[in-house]
Amino acid sequence: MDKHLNDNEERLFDLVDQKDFDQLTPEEQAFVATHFSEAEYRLQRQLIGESSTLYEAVSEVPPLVIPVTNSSVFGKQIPLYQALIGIAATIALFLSIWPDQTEKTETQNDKPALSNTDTIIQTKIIRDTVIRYKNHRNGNQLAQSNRSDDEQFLATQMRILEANTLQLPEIVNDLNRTGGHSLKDDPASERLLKSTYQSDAR
Amino acid sequence: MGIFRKHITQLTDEELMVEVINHHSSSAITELHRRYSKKLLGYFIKMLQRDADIANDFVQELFLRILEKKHLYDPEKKFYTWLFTIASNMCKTAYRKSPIVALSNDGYELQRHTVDGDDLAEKNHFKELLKESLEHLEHHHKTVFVLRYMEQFSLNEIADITETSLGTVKSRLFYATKKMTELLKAFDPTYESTFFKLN
Repeated sequence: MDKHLNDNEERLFDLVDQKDFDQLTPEEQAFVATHFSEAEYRLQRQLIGESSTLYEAVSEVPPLVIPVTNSSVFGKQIPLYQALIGIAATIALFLSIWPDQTEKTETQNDKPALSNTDTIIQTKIIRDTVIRYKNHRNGNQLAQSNRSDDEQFLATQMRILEANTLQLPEIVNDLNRTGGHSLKDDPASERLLKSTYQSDAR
Repeated sequence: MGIFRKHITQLTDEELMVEVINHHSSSAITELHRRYSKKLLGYFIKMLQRDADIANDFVQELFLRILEKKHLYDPEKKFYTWLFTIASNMCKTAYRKSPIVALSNDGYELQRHTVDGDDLAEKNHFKELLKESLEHLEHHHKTVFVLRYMEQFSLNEIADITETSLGTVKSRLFYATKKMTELLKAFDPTYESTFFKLN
């Protein structure tokens, strides 16, 4: 902490700073004498005077080396804050156009209770094998709806197929269930079935 | 318009700084370096215990700082003062990192050479003691002493450079001078009575 000068000290400083002892008025000399001896005052003046020529002038200074900077945009430098704003704007734009792929999940408040564990194991069974059974009879019956000449031939074929077909009643029923025209009302199909049963009976 | 443009050497310091700020002009900063590098090197040598190599590095670093911190310059203020404010702060930082140790404490080595001789030898001896006593000053006292009596700044300019009040500058100068006088007398008691020969 610097101690501030009182009025006397400040006046004394101004005199030492500006005047040699011989330049002082008698009144100033008397004032100085109350603080310093004449010898001390002269020594201070000598010290100040010699200080200006204490060091020789510097003869040579190496030339200034200015490093080449690459941090410029089109040859013009931009402040750091502008660069940061630009980066932030680019990220914001990217996020705004990026599709949201995360599913909407329950919020924490909607949950009835919080788990004490931080790991949740979820078991999910994925059935990736589908067995479809084709109902050949149904397919043949549909084919018969538009024709009548080949009934005999078809009946023979159906018998062979039925003999080799494993009956899965529920699946067959499901597959037979159609939303469109019923085969029951189709006369060609009815005839085909009758002939089939008759041949079986024989 | 180019023919009306002033040559770079005709521009003032402040105009050159505007060139540096607006156009990152390397010729403008080179011109400022040409004008002030010697004075700055002298200042750094005095402040950094006469180490010319470190002083040269400081001059180089100072002008690079001007390029980096050019936006902090106020064109309304004198460039010269701003330049020495940066230089003064660099010395202060260097002093805090590694306080400079005075070359000797009792002045015995110097005192031994105080023999009867001609005035020139006496003056040289006095200058050596002066340099020695300067190194013994506290850093803030040394700064104002160098700026005032070696670099010839006005008291108000020193207040600007050191970012203190005028009263503080006067106080520091008063006590710095007093301290150096005491050190000179301690180094060589004959100065109490024989300094008249130096005049």
